[in-house]
Amino acid sequence: MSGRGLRYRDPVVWSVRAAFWIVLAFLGVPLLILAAVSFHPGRFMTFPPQGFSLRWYETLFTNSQWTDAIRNSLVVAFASALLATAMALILALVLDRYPVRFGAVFRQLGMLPLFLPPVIMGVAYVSFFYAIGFSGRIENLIIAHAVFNAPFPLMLISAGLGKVGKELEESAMNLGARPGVVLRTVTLPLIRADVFAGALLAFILSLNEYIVAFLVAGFTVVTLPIELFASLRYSYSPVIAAASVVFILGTAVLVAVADRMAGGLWD
Amino acid sequence: MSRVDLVQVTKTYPGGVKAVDGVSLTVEAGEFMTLLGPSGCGKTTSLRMIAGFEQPDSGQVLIGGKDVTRVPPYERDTGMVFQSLALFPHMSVLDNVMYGLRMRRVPRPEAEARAKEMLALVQLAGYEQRRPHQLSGGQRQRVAFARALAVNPSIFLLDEPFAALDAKLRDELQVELRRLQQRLRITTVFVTHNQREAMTLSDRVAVMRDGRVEQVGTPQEVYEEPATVFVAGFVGMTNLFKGHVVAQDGGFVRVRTAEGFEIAGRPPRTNGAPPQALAPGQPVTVSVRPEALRLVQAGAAGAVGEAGAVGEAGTPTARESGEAAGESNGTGGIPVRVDMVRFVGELVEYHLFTPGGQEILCTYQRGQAAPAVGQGAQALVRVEPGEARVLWQ
Amino acid sequence: MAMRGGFPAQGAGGRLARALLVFPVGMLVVFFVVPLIMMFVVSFYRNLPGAGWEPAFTLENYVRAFSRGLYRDRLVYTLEISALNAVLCLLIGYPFTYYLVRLASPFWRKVGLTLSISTLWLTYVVRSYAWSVLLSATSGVGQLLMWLGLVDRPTGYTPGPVATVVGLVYVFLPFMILSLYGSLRAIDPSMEEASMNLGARPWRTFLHVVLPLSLPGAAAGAVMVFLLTMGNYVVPSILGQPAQWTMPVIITNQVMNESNVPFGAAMSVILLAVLGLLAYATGRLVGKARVNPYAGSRVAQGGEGA
Ligand SMILES: Nc1ncnc2c1ncn2[C@@H]1O[C@H](COP(=O)(O)OP(=O)(O)O)[C@@H](O)[C@H]1O
Ligand SMILES: [Mg+2]
Repeated sequence: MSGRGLRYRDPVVWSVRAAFWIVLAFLGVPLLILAAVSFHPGRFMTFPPQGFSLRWYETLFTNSQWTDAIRNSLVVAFASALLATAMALILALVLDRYPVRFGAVFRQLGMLPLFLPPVIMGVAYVSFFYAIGFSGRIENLIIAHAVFNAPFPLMLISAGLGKVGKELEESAMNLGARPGVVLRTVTLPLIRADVFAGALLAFILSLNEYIVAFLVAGFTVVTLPIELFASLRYSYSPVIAAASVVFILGTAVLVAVADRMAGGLWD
Repeated sequence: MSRVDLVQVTKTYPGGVKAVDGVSLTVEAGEFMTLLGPSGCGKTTSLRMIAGFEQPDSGQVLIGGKDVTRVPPYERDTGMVFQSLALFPHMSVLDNVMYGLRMRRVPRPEAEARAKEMLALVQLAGYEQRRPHQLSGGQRQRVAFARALAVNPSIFLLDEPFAALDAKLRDELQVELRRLQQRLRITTVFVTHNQREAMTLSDRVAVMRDGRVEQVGTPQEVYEEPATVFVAGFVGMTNLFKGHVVAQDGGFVRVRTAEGFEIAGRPPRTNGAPPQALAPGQPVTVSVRPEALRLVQAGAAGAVGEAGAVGEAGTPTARESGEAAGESNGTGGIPVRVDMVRFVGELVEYHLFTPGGQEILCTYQRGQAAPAVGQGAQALVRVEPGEARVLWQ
Repeated sequence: MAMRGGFPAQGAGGRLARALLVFPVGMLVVFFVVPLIMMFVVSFYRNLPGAGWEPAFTLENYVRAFSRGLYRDRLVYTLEISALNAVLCLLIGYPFTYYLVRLASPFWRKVGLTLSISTLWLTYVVRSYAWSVLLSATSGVGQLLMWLGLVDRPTGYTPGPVATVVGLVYVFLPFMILSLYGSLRAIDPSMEEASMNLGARPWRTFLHVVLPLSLPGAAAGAVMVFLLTMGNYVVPSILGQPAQWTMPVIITNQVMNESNVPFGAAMSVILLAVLGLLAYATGRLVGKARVNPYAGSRVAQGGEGA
């Protein structure tokens, strides 16, 4: 693992190399400590843990306060991911294939939620749902997350369509397939992985999102991040660490799957 | 097998690019027609209009005499091979070849039998279950042929299918394509920017430039009787001399080049129209193929002797550069300096310069008695009588 | 986007396709555009303590936001800490990413990148919480310092300014790394070799070749971190004391604790305006490097942040 193009014994190289490992530790150690704390058997978090116990994991999956939060989170994440992906798929497909007046505007509109700070989106939803007399419902949160996360499937699906290119579809049409059949037999099979990866991203993002959820339905629909946030305000129990570990592992696995499906999200 | 007609077809892309500009072209039933021209001249657009992927702004596309201008691609019954081949990566070779048949609701066993027959025809029996990415470049090409032809289309369309292949494989597949086409006697429109490919494959060639067809004819016609300066330059190598008409006598037009030499050539093609008289002084270009030039050592007998009487005074340039050589005509010679001699396999190339600095290329076949002149030598080139062609400028 | 050839624009298929657009576009208009407009409208409404709001046209929310020193201070503080965070992330992220990019083995490069941005997706809550554990008196640093004999009894650093800054760097460093990774990766190592071959020492090579070429990515990353920090609620509210609260915390408190939505809306409009101005200004400054503040924010996109 020597740096290419750098002199091995140069003091600058040595300090850069040291900085590299320090930063990696900086990024990784907090999570490792969290994991360690979650096994501490006592009622208050302590590090290093005195003993090893899975009791906090048991609490997490049996205590209704936590299981309700997990269920809410999963329901919201699943439904909003589905909705976001449906929006993105239709938007990407139609805009890519048919001349639509204001098509570019619609596409930008679909990407715009990405550029807004979540706090501001949250306040906007508070104003809106309160004004129409429809506050605090789980549906609101599902819709809010769907709209807010739709840019991700939109980006992935558009990229997927770009990779498929037009010649495959034209080739199918040349062989006698009508547009609907082309979609079913060629386009969709080829972008399936991108659609799935996009849905997965929307799911992960919803699962991890705090402030929009808190503002839209914080007092009525308690999701896992909201429950975590609330608990760490008022208690110091290792169950919070256990919940975090579950979060970390779940997110890591899902991101890995999405990364696989999209053929490398970041390289 | 049907004929194809493009009737006054024009296509402008949204950006404002006029890709095809009033093209009329007939491809006879069973004919192998090649659209030849430099990149961006509108070949692909023309092909895509025949396949139905682009709609002309005006004009008509006829297949088998029927107007299909507004017929969508999936109802046109053409078989197209794309430049990228566009094999479906998620299907086996067999499924690729069966795709068109299945779209035509051919029952599976029948479709499978037909697809296998096609694969055998392109020498790919046994590859049915492979995926496209498990095949070599040449094999993929063959699958694309088989897929396009499996449905027995009335028109076979190919858009630069060999552009990405190395020279040897390209040659093999060209032969195979031609064999396939003659066996099936299918009307074929082939697109390429490679003039060699066009010449060796086609029954007729349509040379395109800037969205227009400049000339249609057999490879031989296009080569030997180019209609325009562009065609002469694009199809094969040629030497072009700008000049103006001196006189027209007999079957030949005498042209004085800008440097003051005189060359006699055959008059321009008329494309069926009554021949137009070329008035003296009319600016024209003379095209002489490299193999039509003969090289003689300066001072050799008969080389300069026949040079016509020193006629009317040449242009100022001619005076300055003509020097001792003076004027020359078709049977005389142009004085040149030998810049380089290259042996290119079956050819010997002589790169020459006139006194005025124009480069001239002259080739001899291997085995022809090539003159023994070396680099730096002074020599004369003569135009074989009747081999020069006068072209409108 | 240009139309794809071959899909007939006219006809039943095209009409159906365009009809389908009503769903996503409708969703975006009703649940994105309209709420934002509504927020703007509500920012002029009058708050009724304990009873929601009443429609009105009053500037009192804006007057309050600008006249009270408290809110002005918070805005200035938010700008300051965001700038500080951007600078820190750049200083820490640059050498790290440079080393990462120059790792000879593609495998280790991939591992390094994956590890360094693996926390990107994790909720801010857990990430902040990890530091509140680590910086607390009973776990982590407090214990470590006592064990080292540097302090007599374990001290905690959370909540407080140190924890807030550490937390912000921790949370946003991956974005910086990602942005830098893209631009540093694009520099061909043979360019550095060419420079050294021409007699430049490594340090000068870096200064004259690598640094200028990576500047757009660095600038884009810094702007991204700056704008993201300005919009973050979770980190300062978990790791900070009221003195570290940023605009998002103040806004959320107004809306959720004080039930004063009109005032929260007015401050949101102000924050949005400031962010928009800054994004525009820095976008011009950075020039060609595309600055998409919230793009990279929630996902990694090959360092493009698009
Ligand atoms: N989809 C398109 N949109 C706009 N311009 C195009 C499009 N396709 C081709 N063109 C332009 O039309 C001209 C002819 O293109 P094309 O038919 O592809 O030429 P060729 O196949 O001979 O290279 C070119 O100038 C090209 O840039
Ligand atoms: Mg082309």
